[in-house]
Amino acid sequence: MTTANGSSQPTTGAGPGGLAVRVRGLWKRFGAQVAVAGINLDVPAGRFCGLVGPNGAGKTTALSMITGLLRPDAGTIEVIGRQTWPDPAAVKAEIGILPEGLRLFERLSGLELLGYVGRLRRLPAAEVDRRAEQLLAVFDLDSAANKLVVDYSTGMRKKLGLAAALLHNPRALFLDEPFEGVDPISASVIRDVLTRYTRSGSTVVFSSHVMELVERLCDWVAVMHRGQIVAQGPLESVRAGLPLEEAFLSIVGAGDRGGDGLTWLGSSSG
Amino acid sequence: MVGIFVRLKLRLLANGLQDTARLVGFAVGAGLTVAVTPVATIGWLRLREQPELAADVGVVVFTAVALAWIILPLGLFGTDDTLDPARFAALPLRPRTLVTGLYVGAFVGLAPLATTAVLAGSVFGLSAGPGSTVIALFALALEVALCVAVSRALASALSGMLRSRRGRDLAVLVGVLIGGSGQLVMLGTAYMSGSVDLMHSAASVLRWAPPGMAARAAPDAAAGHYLVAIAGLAGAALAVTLLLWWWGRSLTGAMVTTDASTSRAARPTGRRVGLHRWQPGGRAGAVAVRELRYNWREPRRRSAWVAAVLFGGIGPFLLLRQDGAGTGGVYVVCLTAGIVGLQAANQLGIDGPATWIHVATWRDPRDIRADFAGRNLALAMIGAPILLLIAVALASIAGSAGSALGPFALACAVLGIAFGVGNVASALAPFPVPESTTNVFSGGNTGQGCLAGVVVIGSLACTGLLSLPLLVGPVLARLDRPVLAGSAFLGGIGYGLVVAWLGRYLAGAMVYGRQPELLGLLTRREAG
Repeated sequence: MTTANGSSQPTTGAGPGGLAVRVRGLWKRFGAQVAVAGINLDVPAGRFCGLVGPNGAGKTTALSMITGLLRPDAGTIEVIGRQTWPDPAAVKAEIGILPEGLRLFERLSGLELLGYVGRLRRLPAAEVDRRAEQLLAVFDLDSAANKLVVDYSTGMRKKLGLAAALLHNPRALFLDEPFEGVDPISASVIRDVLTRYTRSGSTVVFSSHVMELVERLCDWVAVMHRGQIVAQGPLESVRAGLPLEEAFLSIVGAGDRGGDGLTWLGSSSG
Repeated sequence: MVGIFVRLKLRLLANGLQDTARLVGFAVGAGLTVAVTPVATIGWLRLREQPELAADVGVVVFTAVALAWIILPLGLFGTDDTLDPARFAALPLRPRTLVTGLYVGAFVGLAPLATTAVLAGSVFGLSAGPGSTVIALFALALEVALCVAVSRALASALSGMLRSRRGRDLAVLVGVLIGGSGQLVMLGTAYMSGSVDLMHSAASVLRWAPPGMAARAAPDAAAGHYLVAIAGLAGAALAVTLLLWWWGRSLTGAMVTTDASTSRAARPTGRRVGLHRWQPGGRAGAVAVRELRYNWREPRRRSAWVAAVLFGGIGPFLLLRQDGAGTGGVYVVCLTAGIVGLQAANQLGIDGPATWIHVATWRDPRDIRADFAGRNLALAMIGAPILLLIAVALASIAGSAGSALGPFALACAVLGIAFGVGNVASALAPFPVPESTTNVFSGGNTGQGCLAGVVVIGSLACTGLLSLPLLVGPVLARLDRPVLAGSAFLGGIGYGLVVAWLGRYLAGAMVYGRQPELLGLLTRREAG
């Protein structure tokens, strides 16, 4: 599947060539803990951008602030040429979001949920129904369209959440761990839809701690570690010829901590 | 093992209180306890001089407190689910260990403490001499044990019913149970204020129920009947044991069975009738339809409606009976309206983390107002017909169905006021109510019971205050000024609408300014 790298387009080919996301000096503290420590981030429009880093690196916090769901302590954020803060309404109208945890209205059916989100976004009713049915079909959810979300599996939820995020044809998508807990078949469906979406010049930013996935999908990478962005740019320049995982480990300088202290673990220890 | 549960509960409570809103709620609850305890204690001590009366009062009070432990959590505040049994499902615990641990953990909290404090005076009030004091001490302990056990066991068992496929039918039964016990308390208080004779006849029946058995033990011992006293204590202890056994059974059942109420929709061909066809335009319409679906499909909301209707529905009938005031008594339907309107008090919290879907689509305060309008509309669409039914039924009992009109109009006005107050409360102090797999009456997160109580009581009080101007209509009607009275009723409805609109407006402005903060409150993960 490494051939998927070939699908990356040169920057100039996608849209106006401007920045879809421009972040400067972004900070967020939770009590004494610094979650995001003054990051600068640029994502050109039309890119498939992966935000990678280990758990707790600050990816979710950064994405929440960029999408206007979490108020930053300091810094400026521009999405599609608009300031997210202090009033994120304009940005929220232009983007699609798949937040962490994926809390949906559990007691609606998949079809009802999409219809609801579309109406909240003030799309014409007939258009909502048309798009909802198409999205459900593309995501292979049409057989579950009338099933309550509470009965969906994780993969189905992610696909439905993604469908809800795409419903109003946003100019940029922000997805928090869209592939976590998703089976390979659903993952490939999600991948296909997202790849098609970016080819049209729209931007996808997604977070993940799975390096291989980011390597395979993205043409633009930002690496986060302990609240900071330690590397960003086109995939090839960030990984510098190495597999991304090795590049990441050398960037953050992670030592070998293969569990020296766990001598009791395993059946051979007696 | 039990120690671990107690320490866990203490830790969870302490962690929960780091939140300001919960701390305020806790402080109010603690303040109330401190204020009421001396009064109650003085009352008990004064009873010591009249042993016969004391025995009757003891039986009635012990029974009333036990009933309050059944109704208040199920009907209004939610039971304390800090230690959610489902979280222990993966641990290798025998049901017996689990129930014991959860049960002992349930004693750690403000409500059991407050109950103990208020009843503590009975140790002296019901006894005479050292022997009966020891018995009274045991009786007090058993009474508190009984309260905690009955509340948890019932919540668990009823949750199983309300969640099940046939839950909707059983909901009525559950409601009758909750409402029925609520009425018993109302009757009890009415009788108590009545006469000593009535109290005595009530006590002579109630003494055979477990709380009454506990209460009678000390007076019996004081009279020298130690065997009878010990038998009474044993009866109460047996009741506790049986309740715990019942609780354990329904708990283990709930933990290994799935939520069957949703499998109904798992059929690939869902019914596309009724609500599905009705899709009014606009944001408020969309929200209203979603809310209506939720009120039907979600066990927590179903139980809330059942509790509201029976709490506010049966009460008025009994009040009417006792009042005997003729058609004027129909106005008690306004109380029902206030209680039904309470469901508006935590409109954001009930959606919990899913609120982000709304937040992501808000463009200006107008959108938020539309959301509240939709929610209010859905509640009104269910609530208003219920109020009409109750008003007509009350009026028919009182002798003229036509006299329902005025009270119904005022009840609608009260509903509007309750919505206005509820909208502001929802924006001011939202608290997430996580869906529990074992308890649909869950009061929410760690240490949140007090906050919920403050919100509920505060909303009721505000609704009551704001409803005072509505009295003008009935007063004018009494004074035989039909034209003036008619316009006052119309004005009352207008006033209710204005308050509802004003509350919505305020709530919209309040929510718009602090969307991230509210979202943070509602998505916060549960401790534990």
